[in-house]
Amino acid sequence: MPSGVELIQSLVNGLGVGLIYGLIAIGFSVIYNASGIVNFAQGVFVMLGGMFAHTILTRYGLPMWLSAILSTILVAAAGVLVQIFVINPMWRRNAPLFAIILATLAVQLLIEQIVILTLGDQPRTYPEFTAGGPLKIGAIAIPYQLFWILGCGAVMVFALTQFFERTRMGRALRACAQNREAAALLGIPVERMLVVAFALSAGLGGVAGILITPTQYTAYLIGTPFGINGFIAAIIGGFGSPVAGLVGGIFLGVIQSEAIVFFGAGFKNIVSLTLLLIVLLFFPKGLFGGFQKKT
Amino acid sequence: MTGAAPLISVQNLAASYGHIEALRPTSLHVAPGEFVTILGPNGAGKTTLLRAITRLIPSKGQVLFNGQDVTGLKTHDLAKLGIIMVMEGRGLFGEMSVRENLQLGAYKMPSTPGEMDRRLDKVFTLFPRLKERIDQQASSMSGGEQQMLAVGRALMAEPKLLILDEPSLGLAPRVATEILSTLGALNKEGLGILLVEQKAPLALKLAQRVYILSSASVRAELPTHEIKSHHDLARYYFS
Repeated sequence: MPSGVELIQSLVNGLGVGLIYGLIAIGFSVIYNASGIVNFAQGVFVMLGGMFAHTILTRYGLPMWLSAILSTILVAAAGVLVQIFVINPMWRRNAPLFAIILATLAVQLLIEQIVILTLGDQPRTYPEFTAGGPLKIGAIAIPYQLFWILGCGAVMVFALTQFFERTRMGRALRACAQNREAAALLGIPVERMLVVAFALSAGLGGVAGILITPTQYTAYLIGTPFGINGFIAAIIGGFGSPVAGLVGGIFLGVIQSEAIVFFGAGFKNIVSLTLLLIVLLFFPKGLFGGFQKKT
Repeated sequence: MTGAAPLISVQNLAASYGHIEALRPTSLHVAPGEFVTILGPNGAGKTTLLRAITRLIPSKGQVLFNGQDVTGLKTHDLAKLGIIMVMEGRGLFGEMSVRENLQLGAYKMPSTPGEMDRRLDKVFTLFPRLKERIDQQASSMSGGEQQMLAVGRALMAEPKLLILDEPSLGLAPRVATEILSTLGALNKEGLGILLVEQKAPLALKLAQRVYILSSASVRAELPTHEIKSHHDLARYYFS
């Protein structure tokens, strides 16, 4: 039986990684709600965030804050390119959704290969944003980076909520999610909205990657596990609001972390996939959609 | 009014779903400020015609708007020019509030101060119930209120041509009459209207001209006063 300290420490660790899953989950939801597409290349944006930030930091010697901003812009631009060169041509040809979803998987593999060829296959990391630490509370250690993840996560969820609720473009994106034909009939350029959705979604993934890299590492292959966990978090949250995605991520992160303490690291994925199945079986619209009775 | 240069002129518009010819080459026009209705039995191709005009489906043929060839434009570009359609089934954003739906109607509005309020006030004058429901979720309103919102949202764009696909569908006769009467009043103010409607007597009372569509093509075009009875309509439907 794990001690109280171990439990609390794992809770802290789970919270950190869960927030990252949450940001990825929001990215999944933004694209899914605007288009019905599940973008399986979402995880690769997390990898690109860390890789770009590391490259800008080490090769060009720019400060962390500037590297983070530039990396986010670059990853958002990568998302736009994916939309323009892969999604949009298929969309215009009325390709079935499953074909577009498969194409996003191909994009993930393609980007991974490009990263190997250009940046190499070695894992890399960079220092936490705030030196020193971790913060010690008794026997519990809280890395300073967790506060950055918490703060940035909160700011981004707040900003996204405001964007979707209060801005003309945010409302237009929500309109596209609910009825694309009606949106177009009102003059909303649906295809352009999809570009915005990809930019937002990729940018979110990029920020997640930039934030998490100092606590572990980044490499060309980290996109897949982050993508899968972000996807599970999105399902738990129910592909709804930014808050739902974030809560789904935190829930998953904490459960995984506790599973490691209770059963060992090997059980982390078993527990999260079991959780996914339970949610799909009893809460097919996500935890925020409520328990679904049999019809 | 029919002698004026057309606001919209549709020439030989044809559409198909796969191998099924849903609309044979069809021509029609609406003059500025004219109220035109399209009548026809179920499956005649009325909705397909409207969807082809607004480019929701691909089509062959030509569409001129104010003399400009708009055939190659996308749906959202047509809206920018002033062609706004209230689609069958209303097409509301059900999870959004009445206010948000109306604001989206004015998506292409120039961002001058006070413009949004001016347009909202205009819609609330026509449909006061929308003002009472301003913060209510659109999907939670009654069918009649939802249709008022759909029409009100379209009016927020200040269209030059308002196209409506069966706005009275599923509504109580009193509510349907109320909504169609509002359309009549708007037409008297100069708004061009192209209406597809199953409730023929109501539509014929309001419109100046009627196209009768049957078996995916126009069977007749005539001034509404020439239709004296249901027998006349039936004759055209099945001729």
